[in-house]
Amino acid sequence: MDLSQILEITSATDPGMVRSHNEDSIASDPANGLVVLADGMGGYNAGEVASGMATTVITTEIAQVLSGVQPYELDDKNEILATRIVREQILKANTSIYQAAQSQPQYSGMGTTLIVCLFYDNKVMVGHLGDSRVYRMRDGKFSQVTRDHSLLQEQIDSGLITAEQAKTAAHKNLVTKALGIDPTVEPEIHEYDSLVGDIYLLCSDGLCDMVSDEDISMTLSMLGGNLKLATQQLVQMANDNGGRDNVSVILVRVLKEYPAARGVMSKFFAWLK
Amino acid sequence: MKSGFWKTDWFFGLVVALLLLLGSNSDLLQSLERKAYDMGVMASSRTPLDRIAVIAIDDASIANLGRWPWSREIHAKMTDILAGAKVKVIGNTVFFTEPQVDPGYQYIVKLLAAAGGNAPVAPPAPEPVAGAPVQADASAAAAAPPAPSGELGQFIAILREAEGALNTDRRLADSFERARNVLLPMFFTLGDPRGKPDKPLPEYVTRNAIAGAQGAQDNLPLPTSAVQVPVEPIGKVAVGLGHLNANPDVDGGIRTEPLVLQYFDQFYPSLSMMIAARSLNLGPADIKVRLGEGVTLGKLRIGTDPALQMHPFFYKDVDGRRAFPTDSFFDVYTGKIDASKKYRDKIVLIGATATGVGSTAVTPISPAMPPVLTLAHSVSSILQEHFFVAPTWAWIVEKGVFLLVALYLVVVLPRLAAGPGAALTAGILAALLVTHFVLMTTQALWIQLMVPCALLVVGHVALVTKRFMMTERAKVRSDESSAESNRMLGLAYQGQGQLDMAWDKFRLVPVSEPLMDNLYNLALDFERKRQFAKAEGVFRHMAGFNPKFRDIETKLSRAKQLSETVMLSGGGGGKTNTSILGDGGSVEKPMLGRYQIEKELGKGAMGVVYLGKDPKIGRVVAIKTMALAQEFEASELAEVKERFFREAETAGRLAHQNIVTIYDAGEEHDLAYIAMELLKGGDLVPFTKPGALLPIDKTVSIIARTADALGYAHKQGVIHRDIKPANVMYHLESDTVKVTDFGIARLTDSSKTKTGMVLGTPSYMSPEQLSGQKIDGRSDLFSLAVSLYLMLCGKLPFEGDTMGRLMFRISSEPPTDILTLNPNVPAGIVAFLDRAMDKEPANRYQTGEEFAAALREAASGAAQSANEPATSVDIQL
Repeated sequence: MDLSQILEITSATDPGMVRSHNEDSIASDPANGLVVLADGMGGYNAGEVASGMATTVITTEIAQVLSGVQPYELDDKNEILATRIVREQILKANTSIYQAAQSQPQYSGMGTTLIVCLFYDNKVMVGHLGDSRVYRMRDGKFSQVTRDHSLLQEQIDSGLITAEQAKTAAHKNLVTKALGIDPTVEPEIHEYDSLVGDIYLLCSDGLCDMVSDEDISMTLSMLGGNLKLATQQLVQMANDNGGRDNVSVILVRVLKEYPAARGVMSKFFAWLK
Repeated sequence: MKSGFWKTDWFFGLVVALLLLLGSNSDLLQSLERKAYDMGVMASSRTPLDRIAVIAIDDASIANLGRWPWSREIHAKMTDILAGAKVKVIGNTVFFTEPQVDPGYQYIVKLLAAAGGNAPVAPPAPEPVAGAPVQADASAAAAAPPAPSGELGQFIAILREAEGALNTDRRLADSFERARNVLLPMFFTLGDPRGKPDKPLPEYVTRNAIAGAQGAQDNLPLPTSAVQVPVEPIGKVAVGLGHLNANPDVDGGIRTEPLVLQYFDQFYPSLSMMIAARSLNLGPADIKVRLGEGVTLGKLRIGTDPALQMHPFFYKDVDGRRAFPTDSFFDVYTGKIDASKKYRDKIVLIGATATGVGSTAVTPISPAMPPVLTLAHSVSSILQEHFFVAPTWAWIVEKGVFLLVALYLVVVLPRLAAGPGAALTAGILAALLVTHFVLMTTQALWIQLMVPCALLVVGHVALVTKRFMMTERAKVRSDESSAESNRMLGLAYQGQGQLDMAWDKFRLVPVSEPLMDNLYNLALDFERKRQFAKAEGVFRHMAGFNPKFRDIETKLSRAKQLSETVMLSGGGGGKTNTSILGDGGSVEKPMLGRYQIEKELGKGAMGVVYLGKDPKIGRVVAIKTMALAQEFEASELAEVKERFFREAETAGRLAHQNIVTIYDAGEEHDLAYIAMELLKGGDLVPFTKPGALLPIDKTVSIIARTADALGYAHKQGVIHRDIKPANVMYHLESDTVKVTDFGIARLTDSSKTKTGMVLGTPSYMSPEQLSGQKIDGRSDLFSLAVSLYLMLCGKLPFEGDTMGRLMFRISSEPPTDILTLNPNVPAGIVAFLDRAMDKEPANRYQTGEEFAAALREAASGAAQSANEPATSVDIQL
């Protein structure tokens, strides 16, 4: 079914105040309910190649897969197809980037963080690698959906440092997982229910390093009625606080319920909508 | 995300539908309906009524009978002829609305009066206004008193004769009266009357009016404001009068026949109606009008539109024959056509068809039809009930279909992709057209479906155009981003090794500096894979942007040269062992699988052997290549490949000090390859030439070790099938023996296409192998014994001038006695050879181990006994 009238999607990406290149890349496919955000890393221009390849390959391939199957269907192992689609396409992108980095010297060592959100059947499948994040605003409550794959997060998890100390930690940007660095990768993929009125925020670390969660939350609750404005405001806030890194923001609001059309009649009505 | 609803497809469809609805009564769309109606009429076929005949006042008649208008005497004479032929009804479409007065007639009358001949009163000048022109009763002359006698009497008689001859109206009236079956036309002026008629119509006209009408009074026939009727003497004797008005459509075409016209408060039938009635012996009283619905004539019910207009059928000419028999007036007049035979009991219609006489009209089947023929079609339509009906419910159907089409445009079409949408629209259009024509041709129903059709076509085209323009705009907007994503996809494909798809994507991207780097890498990848033609394509693409980029000038020229020499030979039919290495070594080192090709080692039967290097682990290997695609037919290629890899896998399992180790097998494009241990030295072929033979103990040692290796392989279930000196590698300095090419023989073994190659060296084959039986390890041992024989004496045990002779010798004759070739071969070895080359496998040594042990024993026994003479021979030499 076409989700473009059900999800309101706005996005912005900005090189920030310090860097000349924007190594972030964002993509969305509203009809298929897909948003992708990647934050590239690597030498001369290679980061933007990695993130660009990630978003392009994943949106293209998933759109192609979804033209033939429905994400809510189950596969032969009783696994929901969306999980498999997201995982397989992340792996495919990983191979592509890794091989490109291997075969072309100017791209060697490139990699990227990745967020993939696929909306279907009143649910959202979130796959991620690295320290780009997904937040959710629901009923005025702001919470982080993904857990960073970063050294810092692992230190917090293992009790080595507290969340307070983490805010001032030196090695903030060391990620433990990324796309395109190794021949194989294990993305973290989870499924969440989504409700009407939810706002999902996908951002690169350029936002969450520069702007505190409280400020983001406040901005969303104040400007939640106008997503476009909220997007611009978030980017502006990151730049006002220094804008040391590229900043990318995608906001997705669920406007209506979107249960999967399973019966013939509901499929017909879904088609008419 | 939101856009104004006025940009949506459904709104667009709605606007188009409304526009079409407003324009549905416009001239444009109505003429479409009319055209469709005409085509429907053309497509229908009915048989015309054969009782109708037409007498045409054609050009020939006018040429022969004088200038038009004719004297009414001619009409009178014709009426007499037809009356004599007993025709059923005569319909004369010539208007007799004015008296015909010869200029001399008045003087004749005056003279007659002066002479006391009691001449009739001269007719006054005809009145131009509507209403019956009053005319004196010319027939009064007939009742003149008896003529005076004498000269005056004679004179008066001449005058009377002249009067009688010149009063053509009276002649005609007499003739009509005698015939009693002539119907004449009247002509009404269509239009709303402003007040009351000037004067009431004469009785001979009003008696033709239809008596009463049933039905709703809001559906009245076409109103008229004036009428021209035949002059009284003629009109009075006509058996009936009917109007000959046509009501052409705006395009001048006649598709309707007003059956009834309203003249103030009276209804007058059409001439066609009257003729039809008369032919059924009915009169005006039998014509019943149902207002808004139709007209009933006796048992005939004629459906009409609300204004009582019939859609007559127009009969096509069949096989070049006219729908109604038409004859020239002149031919009938002169008796050339036998009227009594041809027109008996027929309905005869007389009218002008000559050019310049009367007005022609456009009808569905003809661009210029004279009124008399239109009348004929109408009469036939009425009498046979062949007419098209636009039923009252047609309006509902037409609007319903229009609404459905509008719904289709608003609801369905915007949701369809271009292809299915076009197909569905075409389908609906075809359905509408077919319905229209089928209803017309079979049911004679006219439902106006052209407006919905037009809506469908216009709406579809408009929607498609709108979409096209919208996507065009979106395309311009997205071109930049899609270029970037194409570049990324290209990189991704290149990373996955799908160079062709990568090239497809890169080609879509406008060339820029960063892209040049990507393209350069792609071209190098193509070179590494030996696809020089494609590399050349990439270089050429790059040169279009910047011919000085890095070294692409030289790359381009070299790739071009290589693509012409190397790749073209890959198409089949070329030499199978063409080198993949270009000259000059300036090419990027070619890759075969994971191996870099360093140099060419030699050329084998099926392909080139290269020295290769695995860059990852630095191992140097020999790579044996086989151009399978060139060796085998495409149909068996897949099977051959599968067998090749199965055999390579089997051979790869063999680990023996005397067997060449296989590292890897794979295929790249048209080349299959096996990477194996790189050996020093060469094969045994050089040591088989007389004069270059190895000492006997050396030979025995080599063959015995080979037998060990074969014994091991046979235990693993692997049969070599092609044991010969060329397949045993030997390094003299280190004294190492290695058997090579396990399994490859199997590949060529069953090849049907290259039989000649298999039979090229059957010298080493065992009898059972030669006869195509299933073979086992003992066959390999036979071949090994043949090799031993050859290495001992420099000659093959079985030789023959022809292939047949050779095969016969192998299968049936004992080998040449080795002692005749080399008398120094010890007796033990001679005996060993005899057993090893026995025709019957069961009599030979059964395993490699047994073979090796027996050989060593035979050699050692021989060495002890023949030690002395052997050394002495050496000394002598």
